[in-house]
Amino acid sequence: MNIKKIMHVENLTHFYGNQIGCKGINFDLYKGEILGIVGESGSGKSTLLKCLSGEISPSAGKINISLDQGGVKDFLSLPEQEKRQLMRSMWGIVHQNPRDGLNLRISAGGNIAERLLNVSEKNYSFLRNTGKYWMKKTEMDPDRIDEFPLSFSGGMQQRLQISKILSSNPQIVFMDEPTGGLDVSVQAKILDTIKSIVRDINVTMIIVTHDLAVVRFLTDKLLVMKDGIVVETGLTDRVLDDPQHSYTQLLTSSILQV
Amino acid sequence: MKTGFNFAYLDEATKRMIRRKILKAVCIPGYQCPFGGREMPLAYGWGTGGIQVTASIIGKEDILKVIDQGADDTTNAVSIKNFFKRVCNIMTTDKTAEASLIQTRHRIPETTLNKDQIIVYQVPQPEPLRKLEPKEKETRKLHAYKEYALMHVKLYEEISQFGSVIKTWAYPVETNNRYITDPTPIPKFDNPKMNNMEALQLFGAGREKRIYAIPPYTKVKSLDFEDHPFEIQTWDECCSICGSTKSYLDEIIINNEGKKNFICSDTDFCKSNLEKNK
Amino acid sequence: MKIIELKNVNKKFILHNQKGTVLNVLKNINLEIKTGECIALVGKSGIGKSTFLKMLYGNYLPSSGEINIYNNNKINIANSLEHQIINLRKYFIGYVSQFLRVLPRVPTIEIVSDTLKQQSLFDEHSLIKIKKLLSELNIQESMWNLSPLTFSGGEQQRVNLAKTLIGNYSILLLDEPTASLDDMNKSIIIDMIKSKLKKNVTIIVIVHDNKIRNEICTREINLEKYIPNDN
Repeated sequence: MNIKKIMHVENLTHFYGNQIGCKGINFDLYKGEILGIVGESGSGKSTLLKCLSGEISPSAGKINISLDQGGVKDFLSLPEQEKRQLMRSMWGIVHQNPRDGLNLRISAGGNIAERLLNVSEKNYSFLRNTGKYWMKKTEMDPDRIDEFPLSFSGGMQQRLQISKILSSNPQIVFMDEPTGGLDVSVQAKILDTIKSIVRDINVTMIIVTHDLAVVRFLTDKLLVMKDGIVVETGLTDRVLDDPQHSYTQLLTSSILQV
Repeated sequence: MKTGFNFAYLDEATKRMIRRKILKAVCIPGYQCPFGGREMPLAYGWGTGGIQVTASIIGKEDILKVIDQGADDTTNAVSIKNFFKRVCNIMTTDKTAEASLIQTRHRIPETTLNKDQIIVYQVPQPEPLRKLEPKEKETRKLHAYKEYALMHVKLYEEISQFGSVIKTWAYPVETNNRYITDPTPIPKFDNPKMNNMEALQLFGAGREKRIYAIPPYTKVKSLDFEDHPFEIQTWDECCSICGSTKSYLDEIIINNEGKKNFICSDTDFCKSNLEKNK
Repeated sequence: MKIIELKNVNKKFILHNQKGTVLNVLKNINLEIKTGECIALVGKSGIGKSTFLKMLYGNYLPSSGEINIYNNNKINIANSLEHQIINLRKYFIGYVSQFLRVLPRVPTIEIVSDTLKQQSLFDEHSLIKIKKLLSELNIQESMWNLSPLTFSGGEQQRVNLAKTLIGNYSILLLDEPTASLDDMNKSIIIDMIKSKLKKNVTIIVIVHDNKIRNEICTREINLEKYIPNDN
């Protein structure tokens, strides 16, 4: 079994002034793995995601990444150009609010095309077909390719955002509460979509959420965060079914039974 | 020559500053160099950038031609020509082939320019990405990192909505395989003339205080898709004055019934073509 | 050849939010299981049979000790990287829980084919194989395209079994596979377990019915002897 390690995080720490954002985070991410980061509001999970995706530079720590081409690199010391290039093609962020990840002034197809054009595909039919392919894949109606994001429902906008990110065949996808603002039935359908795509294309993902049902359905392993530190980590079903830390026990016992 | 002014209106220190910027611009084809633009005796939008570039490089031996939308006899062209006559006492001409320096608004002459000529464009908006990305800080990064996806998205959107790219003027180009450049509001008909042009092309934006340049013999490519290649405008009609079928034509409504005529936009070309045909 | 080995395995639960109550469940487990054995876990209700099975699957974490699974190399489930355990679960160890747990809205036939897809065994013959299995388990054709979440208890249990039995696992962990089934369906399951045994699959099963136990199991492990004294 030779699964490639594509991210190695060591002692990652970020302070906002004197306030702890996240502290002493360590983990490894292997190709094809789906990592969930859970914790209550203010636990530092979004700060951690921002550090990992290059949105903020952490106060201390190390992130080594291993790309398909080019061996192991120290992510934090990459020049801005390379970080931007990563985010535009080989990595991708799915934001909680699809409007943060979509360009509302351009059509659905244009949004997907933008991502592909970053990896310089200058062929119109290719952009068109790939756009339709990914819309179909995320269970959207490909005939709506020329409509603008604002004419879609919230759930559809989220699907569009996912299409856009996945169209460039990214190595790592970061998701920040991907089903956050959606009602339960739409949530379930989107989780379903993500799950089936993940199975198909073997993408590596980091998902931040406070929703334990989401992590149980989607993720392989978990980081449980509280007050900026990781209190427990392990296989997702192990952490949820046999939690060791008192906070994890509190979290798992707080789920309401329907 | 009117007294009380330095030669070519601007003081020597200013001209030197602008020439330095021009040199920098020539060294980095298509890159927009900021410069310390001066107040000129005409309003922004009337060619203050072009005039400053012209004023900085004009010499006593130069013969100046100024065109506006291809015509030598329109207000803007005539005024700028008169301005330089008064402050430089230089010769002016309407004939493209005779001019050593051509200042233009919105056209490139039909007559092919040669290596002894310089063409100065008046630029309203030097930033081709401005309408796609409002933040200057971000557009500079987009240029620096060559992240030009947005520009192609714009073309994609036009093809998906209208079946083809409908942008007919200020059609963006890539200069020397590097910077995406705004060719100023010339019709896309003129874009191919910019490629490998023998003359030096200088661009001055007065309000935005930017200078950029395309050196002689530089590759200038109009953006397109492999399966939707760049095309220029064509007409079924010919010029109703000189009969040309090769020039850029203006559509003119000549009576209250809406009768239309097509005539050459380049007045010098039209005149000489007419004489040749006689 | 040994396939599973437990060394000094202890399991206790510490309930931090209930005044730190400590529940000692199993202690000092040392045992080996050989390839092709069919082990029945016995002991009275609440003794920790499911806990034992879940520890083998990596679902519960032993408080100390080693649980070694011999694939091509030795993997200690109690102390391995997540992706190694996931890989083991994908190709090597199958687990049938007491209750079916699946995504809502996913049809039965897809749930079953998913196992083959995960094992990269899905091909043009797979659907026929799946349909045959579902028919053998007496799940009516009209239900194949429905989500099993609306099925009866017995039907859900059989879908749960189908989902794992379709795969090509070397170890099967079965938690009361026949609990909510009638006699006819019980004997069908028993036949299926027997045919797995013929293929040298190692099976560890919790089953209360003595008759079934005698029919399929090669050995019993009584968990009574692993009860800590202080309980």
